[in-house]
Amino acid sequence: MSTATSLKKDEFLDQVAAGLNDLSEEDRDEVLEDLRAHLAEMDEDEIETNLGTPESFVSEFRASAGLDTREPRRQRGRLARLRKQLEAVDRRLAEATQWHTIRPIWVWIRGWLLVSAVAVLTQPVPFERFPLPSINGQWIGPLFMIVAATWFSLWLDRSEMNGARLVSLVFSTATALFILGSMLVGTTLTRPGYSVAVDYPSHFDALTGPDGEPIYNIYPFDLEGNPVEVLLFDQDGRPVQSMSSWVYDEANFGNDPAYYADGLVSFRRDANGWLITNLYPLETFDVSGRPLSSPGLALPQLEDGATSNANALEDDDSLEGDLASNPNAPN
Amino acid sequence: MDSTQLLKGVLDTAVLAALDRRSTYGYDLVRQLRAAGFEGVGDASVYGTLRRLFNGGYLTSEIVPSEEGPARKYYGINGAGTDMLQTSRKTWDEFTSVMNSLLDGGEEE
Repeated sequence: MSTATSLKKDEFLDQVAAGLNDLSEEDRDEVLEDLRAHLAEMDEDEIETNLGTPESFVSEFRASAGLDTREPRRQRGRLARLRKQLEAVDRRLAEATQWHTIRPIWVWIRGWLLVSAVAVLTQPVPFERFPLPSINGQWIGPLFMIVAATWFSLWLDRSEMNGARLVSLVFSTATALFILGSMLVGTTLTRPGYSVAVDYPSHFDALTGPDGEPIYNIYPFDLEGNPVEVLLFDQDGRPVQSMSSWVYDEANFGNDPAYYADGLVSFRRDANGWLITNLYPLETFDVSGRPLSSPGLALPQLEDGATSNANALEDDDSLEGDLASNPNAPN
Repeated sequence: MDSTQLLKGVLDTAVLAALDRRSTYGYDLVRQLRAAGFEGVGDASVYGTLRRLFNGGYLTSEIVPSEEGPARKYYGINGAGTDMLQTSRKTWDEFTSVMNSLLDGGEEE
């Protein structure tokens, strides 16, 4: 039983192909297809007896086919070897996928691959309507480009500009591999591409001092120098919040204590469980959980006790008025 | 007279004649020609001739899938091919009758 393909048969075909490299791709493919079917009828070891060497086959074929019997100019060097390898690969693929039967469609697929490659490489959204590639949100333009690329590809097939055919062969192979590869890896070819800026704000300071330095905590003291707990409100009656809003969000989700710029903070809650955001001082901890104590404080030297200070406050009418009218002021 | 050289001259006609009887694929055509008596005919020559005749517009081709292996390309003869075959047959008849009379004439003497 003869095998349809084998290494020796492929080698024979490759060498015959080399001897016919002056033919157009289409012509050469037809000859090779016939020869492949011919080889399929015999065993590997019959090749030499039936057909002779590839060189003798080529010269006999060329003579009876009316082709120039002069040896086609053998191209040497890396470029020629590369081309031979590429064409051998192309033939294997063609045989494996029966491309010769879908040859007319293959030329269109090549055009599509070319334009899609451009779209994938340059557009954030390469396929707005898969399988149509889009450029600048338009798919009509790329469609015309596909048609143009297909015609150009057909034109290349008919010409005998081997250099250009090599380029197009390399490009379409590379493009096919690239697109196949990215599909396997699962990139976002069809989903709109957007880059998420993961820039977790570490210093989104809610309360800042005159020089822009952040104020995270407030340590109230009475005039005798005793630390007190106070609720703070601003000039519009809003609670004074020293932390970024996401700190309160995190605390609300149940992360208590929640992270803030310098460590952890724990909030007191009211009877309904809501955070009391403006009760100072806030309970703060460093990142390892040790409570942060109030920093060294420089309390103002009172001239002669509380009395003199109380006098100072009385002189300031606006302050007194504010204190009296604020219903939320601690009593 | 070298039969190989002779064959080269008339292979076109031989191929056309064989295909006129029935369409077939390359491998089978080689077998037919050899079975008919042309033992020395080379596969490459047959394929080269097929290509030349096909490109010249004298043959038809049809790909027929095969279960045993790759699809086979069946070659057949078309109108132009039949005309060419007719002309060739006439030429051959004339040529061989001249040759025969020359040869017979020689033997007689």
